[in-house]
Order: sequence, then structure tokens, then C-alpha cells
Amino acid sequence: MSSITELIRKEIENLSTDATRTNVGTIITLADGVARVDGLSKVMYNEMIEFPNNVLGIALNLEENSVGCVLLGDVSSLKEGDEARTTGKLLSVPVGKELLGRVVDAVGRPMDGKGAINAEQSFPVERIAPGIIPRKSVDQPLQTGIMAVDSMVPIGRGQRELIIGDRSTGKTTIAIDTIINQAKINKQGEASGDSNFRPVYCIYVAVGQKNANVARTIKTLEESGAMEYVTIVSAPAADNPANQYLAPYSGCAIGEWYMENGMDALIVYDDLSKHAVAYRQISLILKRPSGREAYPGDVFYLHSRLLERSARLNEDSGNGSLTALPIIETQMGDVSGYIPTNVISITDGQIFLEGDLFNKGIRPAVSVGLSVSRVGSAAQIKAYKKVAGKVKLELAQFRELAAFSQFESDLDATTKASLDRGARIVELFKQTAANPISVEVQTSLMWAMQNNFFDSIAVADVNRAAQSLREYMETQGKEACELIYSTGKLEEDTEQKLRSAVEDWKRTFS
Amino acid sequence: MSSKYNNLVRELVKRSSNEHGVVEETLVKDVLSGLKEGNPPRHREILKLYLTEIRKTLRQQLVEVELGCQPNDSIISALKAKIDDLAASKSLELQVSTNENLIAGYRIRLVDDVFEDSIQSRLSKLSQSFTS
Repeated sequence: MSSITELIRKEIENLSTDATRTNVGTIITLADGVARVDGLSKVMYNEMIEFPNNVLGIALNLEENSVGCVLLGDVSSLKEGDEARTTGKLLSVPVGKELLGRVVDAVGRPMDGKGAINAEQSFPVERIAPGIIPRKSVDQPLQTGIMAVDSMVPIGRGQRELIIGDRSTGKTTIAIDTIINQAKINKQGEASGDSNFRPVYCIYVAVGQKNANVARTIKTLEESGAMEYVTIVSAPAADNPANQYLAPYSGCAIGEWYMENGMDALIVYDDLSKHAVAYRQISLILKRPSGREAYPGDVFYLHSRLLERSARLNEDSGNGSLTALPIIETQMGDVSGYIPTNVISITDGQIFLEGDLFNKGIRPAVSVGLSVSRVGSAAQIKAYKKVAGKVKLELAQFRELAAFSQFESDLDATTKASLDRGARIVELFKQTAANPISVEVQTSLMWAMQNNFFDSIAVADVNRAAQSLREYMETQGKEACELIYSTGKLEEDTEQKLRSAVEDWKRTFS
Repeated sequence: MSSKYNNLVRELVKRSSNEHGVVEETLVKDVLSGLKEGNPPRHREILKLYLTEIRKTLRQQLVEVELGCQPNDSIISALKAKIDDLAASKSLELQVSTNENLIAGYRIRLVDDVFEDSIQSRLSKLSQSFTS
């Protein structure tokens, strides 16, 4: 039978006409945003499928008798028996600088009412991560502008640093502050006219979030002037699970364009817990076998293939980078859950945010013991490395001693000194949202702390003093800051200038 | 439905077809009466699967030709002759119909492949180039 049809096919193909050949099928079942299609014998895995009324789908399950497609548009217009046709294209999204300042959906369609996006290029949503050869180790810092992070868990360009914590512990705030800081650095760098300056472009992927939260994030970015360097990919909670599943990959494809064109980009996945839930929903509807917590067997691969696409490329491959800040929400601080442990093992470190610290007013609520950056001080400038080298240890010692000191009334001098220093560092690290601090000012503050300039100030006043010193360094102490910024080192003359500036400030501070 | 039933249904379809692989009504009737007599477990599911497979097989024996205008006898006879020539001894049914939505041109469907050259498809392509 097939030989007859093959003969006719060949005959038709030999005719010199403008005929187009498409592979078609018919919907046999349609439920929960998933269509099971009979036919489509030549469909490719992940191929875009065209349904009536401009509804698109992706072929995710290629089975013996049918094809399982997740639908991306309004499925209410579809019915059983409708024709589905292959497009010969894998799902792609527009990429390029035309997307900066825009809000797009999971397939790159504008959602902000600012008109069409005239992108010249498009990248497939699913791509293979860069291999071993084009990569190089992470050695260039990506400043978050958050002292607690930049000093203790430094992030480098091309790194994957997980932000993990319970709900309402400031996970999104850290990510948004990092984006705001990139915009601030970009503006400063572009204004300086430095030809070697490399701006960091940002992509914020909102998965399964409330529309109100996404709107608030956009407003924050706009108010801080960061939006011009940011692309937002939004698949809110109201969106179908297929879009929520796709959004991180779409955002990643947008970020990869920068990386492959020798630029630096930062991508925030907010959050991958909801992404895993969306994937679980799709998998259950597609009747894939479920495993632990009803997640499908390939839920690890779901995140590993996404996060492996973030990399630092070597000079031969354009020297670009894609840094990823995935976010995971834990339940009751339990980091041993299925999805948290998966993502922890994939990433190059994590910033763990504690609900208790947050409620005590220690914000950002970074847990010293559980937070780590596997890149370490390689992602810090020399000057900062010099002053922040011991801070993590000091703070960890403080947390331990603070717990014991509750039972001890008579403390020795060393313990008391450690407790005093720790309490002051905690105060120094307290930072309000959308208020990033430049690396040179952070260096100055840390230097002042290490050189005991805050010791005579009451613990309760340290944060106010740090704010005052910050303002001083940004104005009168600019010379020292500029030296740190330009050299990246804390040489003797720089330290001399820094000392005189801090001493001047100390005289004026009351 | 398990693969055990898939194999059973495949066998039923085989028994419903003649030596040229063409589904015949009398053979289908035989299969149905045999099933009724045997009353296997999950009879309804097997019948449903059998229907799907028979539809698929029948579709493989069908060449659907849609034309934008009313086909004249010469076109139909030419198409028939061509298909008979290609199919040789095996019977292949030709179904010619008019589809005014095509405006002009043709659309040929062979199993799940569609070959189309019509004004409708060209307009659709043009419209897509504006919207994508």
C-alpha cells in the first residue's frame, strides 16, 4: 500500500508546479491545552504545529498512533476533527537588541502595546548548550550592588547562581536589584567612553507569577531607569502551562544571542519551581509516567539543559557570557525538596534567604552558612577581595557565637570582640531594595569596617553611619573611589587616600 | 490500550483486507460477527481501536482531490487513468470534489500528506508573511 502512495508522491513531486507539500493530521482529542493528533507522520520533535485560527502548538509526544501537542494560543476555537499541519520549523523567538525595553510572551510576541518588534533574527527556543571547547572559566565579576552578596557570595559573568528561599524572603528583590545595578553600571560605563567597557543586558523571565507582581516589577525597573537594558519574558499564572513551560527557554534563547555575539547578558528565571509545576501538569496530561512528587522522570533534564546554556565563552568563541540567576521557592525552609536539590546540584552556588532573618529586619536575609559561590573570589576585583576576604568567616563565627552567647553571661574578650564585629557587619550589610551600591563604595565601606572605623559607633547606628559614609564617598571621597574603579586594586596610595577620606568623614559624623 | 490489544487490532485489520491489502465490507462483517461471538474482554475498546485502524487503512486507499472549480469529465478521467497507471493492479479510490474556498487550483491529499497549489494557500502564505 505504501509503495503505491510513494509512487504517486514521486509523480506529484516531479511536476513542475508551485505546489507546497505539508504533512497534516486531525485532532482526535483535545483537553487541558493538549491536543492529540492523528496523522502528522513526518512531524519532528519540538516542531511547531499550525492549527486553525492561527493557534500554534508544539509536538512534544511522538507516539506510535498519535502525536501529543501542547497548544500555545486560545484553544476555545479548536474542536475535534480540526486539521493540524506541520510547519517544518522548530519553535523560534525573535532575538536582538530590538527586544530591549520590551515585554514579550513565551513565543516572543509583544505584550506591552508598544507595537511590533522588528527583530532581524530569530533563535530556536531549544538549543544545545555550548560544549567544553568554547567555554572558559568564570573570572569577571558581575556586581549585584548588594554588599552581602558581592562580598560573601560573589557572582561571575557566566555563572549560574541560584537564589533560594521561602516565599516573601526577598528572592525577586535580589534579582531585580542586580538588574538595576547592571543598568547603573552600563550607564556609567557608556558615559565614560571606555571602548573596553562591556555592558550587561538583562532578561527577566516571569513564570507563573501574578500579573500584578509582573506589573510591579516592570514599574520598579522603569522607575530606576533600567528598562532600556531589560527584556521581560512573561508567562503569568493565568497563562496556559505550555507557555509557562516555554518561557525560560525563550528567555534563554534571547540571552544566547548576546552571548554568541560577544556580549554579556544576565538572565533571571523567576521562578523554576513554578516552571517544574507547569511541566508536571503538561506531562501528566500527556500521560507520561510520573515519578517522585508526580514529576516526570526528566524533570532534572528540564532544568539542567536550560541552565547549562548559561556559559562564559572563550576569546575564540567571541568572549560572550550568559549569567543565570534561577530562583527556587522552598517550603518551610526545606532545601532538601526534589526540585530545590536538583537545581542546587546544577548551579554553581546558591544564595539562601532565611525567613527568620527577614522577619528580624536583616534584609537581604542572606544565610551565611548555607550560601555559597563555587566561583568564589575569582569573581571579585582585587581591591574588594582584599577587604572582603575574611568577612564570610567572621560573620559565620558571629552567628555561631551569638547562638552560644545566649547561654553564657561571662564572655571572654576575644568572643566579645567577635560578637561586636559580627553585629556591626550585620548592620553594615542591611540594605534597602532598589538601592545598589557600586563596587568602589562597597570596597570603601568594607575597608572602613576592617580598619575598625565603625568600632566606636554603637551597633544600632552602624547602618546610618554606613549610609553617611556611602554618601560621603560618592561626593567628597570620589577621588579614592575613582582610583579603585580605574585600577581595580587597593594599592598603597589608594589606601592612603581612602584613609584620609574616611578619617574626614569620621570627624563630621555624629 | 495496551500493545497486546494493538497487536490484536492489527490482526483484525489484516483479516478485514483482501490479498491486495484492500479493506472489504464482507471481510469486515466476518470480523465483527467473529468478535461478537467470541465476546472478548474490553470488547468496546477493541471495537473503537478497530474503527480507528480501519479508518486509517481506508484513508491510505483514498486519494482525495479538491479542485477550485467544477471538474470536467476529461480532468477526472485523466486523473483516474494516471492513478490506475501508477497503482497498477492495486485498487486506489479517487475522490474528486469541489472546494470553492480554494478559489482556484488544487489540493491533493494522500494519507497525511497534502500537496496544494491554490489561490487560498498563496493568500494564506502572503498573510503569514505580513503577520510574522
